Amino acid sequence: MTRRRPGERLRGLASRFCSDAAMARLIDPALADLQSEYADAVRRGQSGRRRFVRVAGTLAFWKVISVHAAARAVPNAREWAAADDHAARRTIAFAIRSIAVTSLLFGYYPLSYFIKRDHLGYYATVTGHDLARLALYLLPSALAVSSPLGFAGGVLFALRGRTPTRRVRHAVLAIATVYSVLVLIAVAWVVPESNHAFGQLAFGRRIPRGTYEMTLSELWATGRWLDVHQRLALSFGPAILGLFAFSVCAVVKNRSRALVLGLAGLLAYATQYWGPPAPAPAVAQSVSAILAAWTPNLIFAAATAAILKSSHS
Amino acid sequence: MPTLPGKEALIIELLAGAGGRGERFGLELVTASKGRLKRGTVYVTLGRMEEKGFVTSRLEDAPPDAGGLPRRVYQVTALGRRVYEAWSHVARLLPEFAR
Repeated sequence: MTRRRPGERLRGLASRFCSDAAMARLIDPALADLQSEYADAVRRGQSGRRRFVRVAGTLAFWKVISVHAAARAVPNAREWAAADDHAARRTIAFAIRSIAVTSLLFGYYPLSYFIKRDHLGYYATVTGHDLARLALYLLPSALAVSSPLGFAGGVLFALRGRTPTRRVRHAVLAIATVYSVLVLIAVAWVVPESNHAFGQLAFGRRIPRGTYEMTLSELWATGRWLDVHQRLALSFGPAILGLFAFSVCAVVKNRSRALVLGLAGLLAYATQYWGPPAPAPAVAQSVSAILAAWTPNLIFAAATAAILKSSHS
Repeated sequence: MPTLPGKEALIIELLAGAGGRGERFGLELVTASKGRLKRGTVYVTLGRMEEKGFVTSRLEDAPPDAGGLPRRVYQVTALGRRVYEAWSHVARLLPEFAR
């Protein structure tokens, strides 16, 4: 059986991801030096040195790969953001602005409870320091709730009246996936903690954890399936609504009409999620918890598929 | 205008002072730099310098029974020398804090 030289497996791995030029200029010189140094240590019978060379050479290989990947990532990201008249960059910029505006709207109502007005003007019922902390604790839930709508709004404002290409669709899908993962992390672990901290500061005493203060695993353990599925469904919101907004922009060429139609759709989605709740017995009797939580997403996924299908036919 | 970061200047200095052969392997540069160049970054720096035209490289003429990958040896170019000389001249004129 022939023994592999050190670095042969690493070279095979690198050749799958690196260009020929990168292999010739970066990977092969690093591995050739590793093999030469290793062979030298073997020839001299230095077993300790041989092990050191193998470890140091392997670490150097991974460092070369990381530095090369980082160096390539910046121009690639620039190229990706600049493609199709800066569609991806514009979408991100509009999404951030939309999320900021919707977060302010969602955050204003709970905070307004602590701001009163008398004949002298506005004043806060808590100290400025506490008001700042309350705003901070509200931020995760405001961001989590506003992200699906804000991101879709960003897509609408950025792409209306333009012809979205396949590359733009991939970009929207990639950004939506990132938003969805962030929303999932937020609603599963961050929001319950911040809600609990908000409640304790607002009431000025220790309060027991309610449904909104429980993490996803706690909800799961206590069998609160409607809440579990509502949170999971919410995390899919950016992807579902982002693609819905994309499909509206792809089909409706008039800028104003695309905006009105898209915003009407988003409003309908928001009403289903955050509108007046259906009476609990009705929910329990008529549909299962899972279906109740996923219905808005299912409706909008079906609408998106129908719109995209109509654009192809 | 070509720029010359500190590590690139050091590599040119080491290659220029390589003696009669005038060329070195990446790992030789790491050893000669006494810790100022690292194994993991020297090849990336050399690749960038080759793109700029400061160094040139070739695969070594290994004996046929050696086996393994052929090593790459690097040599400073005339452009690399000129840029290094200009850089050294400017560095001598600049006060310490501005270098």
